[in-house]
Amino acid sequence: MYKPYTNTRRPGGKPDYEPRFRVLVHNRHQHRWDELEDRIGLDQAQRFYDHVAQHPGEPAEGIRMNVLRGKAGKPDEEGFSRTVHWRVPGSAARLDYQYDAEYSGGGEGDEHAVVRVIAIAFSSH
Amino acid sequence: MHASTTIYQPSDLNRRGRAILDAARDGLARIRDTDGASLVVIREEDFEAMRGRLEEMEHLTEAMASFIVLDRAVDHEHREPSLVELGPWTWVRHLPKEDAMEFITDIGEALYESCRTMSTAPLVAAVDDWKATAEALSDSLARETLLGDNAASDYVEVERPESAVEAEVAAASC
Repeated sequence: MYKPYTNTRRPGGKPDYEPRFRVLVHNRHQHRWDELEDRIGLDQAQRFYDHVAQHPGEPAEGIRMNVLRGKAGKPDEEGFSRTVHWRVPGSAARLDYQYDAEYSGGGEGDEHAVVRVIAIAFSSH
Repeated sequence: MHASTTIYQPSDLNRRGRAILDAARDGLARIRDTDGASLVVIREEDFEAMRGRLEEMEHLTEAMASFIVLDRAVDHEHREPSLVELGPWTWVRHLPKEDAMEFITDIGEALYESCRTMSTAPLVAAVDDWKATAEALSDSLARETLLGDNAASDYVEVERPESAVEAEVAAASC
């Protein structure tokens, strides 16, 4: 259950910038998020977080990104972007997310920019 | 490119070498060999540009042929295409059935734009996005959440991944 004012991981770990977006992960992929550092390394894990927390949807140097087409690309809710596909360099890992800079939903109806990581995958097909 | 009307002979290579080079620099120089073969000398950058355009046209022609086969199966005959009919786009089989028509429409529009602009860029961009979509859907769990109806309550907030040292520093400062 998403609680807008509750962090689900350990306290601390704040980046040295003020995140513009809250970063949410689909609960069915939370175990993969927890494995992220082991799977792709801390640098790449932090790089993804920093990207979505600050500039989701914008090009990132050295990263292959796509906007998904078809049903997989459709926004979860009105106001959200289409799904962005982020490929981790030097790895088969990829993360898919949508973002809304003016999100006003959530459990308590607060207004804040959010990124939703809809899927995380590590293996190549 | 200016095309000189002068046709040089092999013997001109020694006697009129400068004129042949100037003609080539201006556009092209044509030399008729002793066996009748016609040879052309042009600037290397012009040659590379023509070769690049030819490669683009070959790519577009192949894509057009693949598109026609796929379009015939899906849109005209209303059936699933075989692996052979998918041609270079075998990854399309990872897409949901309802996306097949959207894929064909997108590729058709991209091909039209590519032909109109004499550039493969629109086609490459569309194919790359669709390939990424198929790649994303190839993982079974990702497929379920990407194609499912997700609610706000399905998400949990996460912190920035941190190293053990960063975690210790953060914990100590609390």
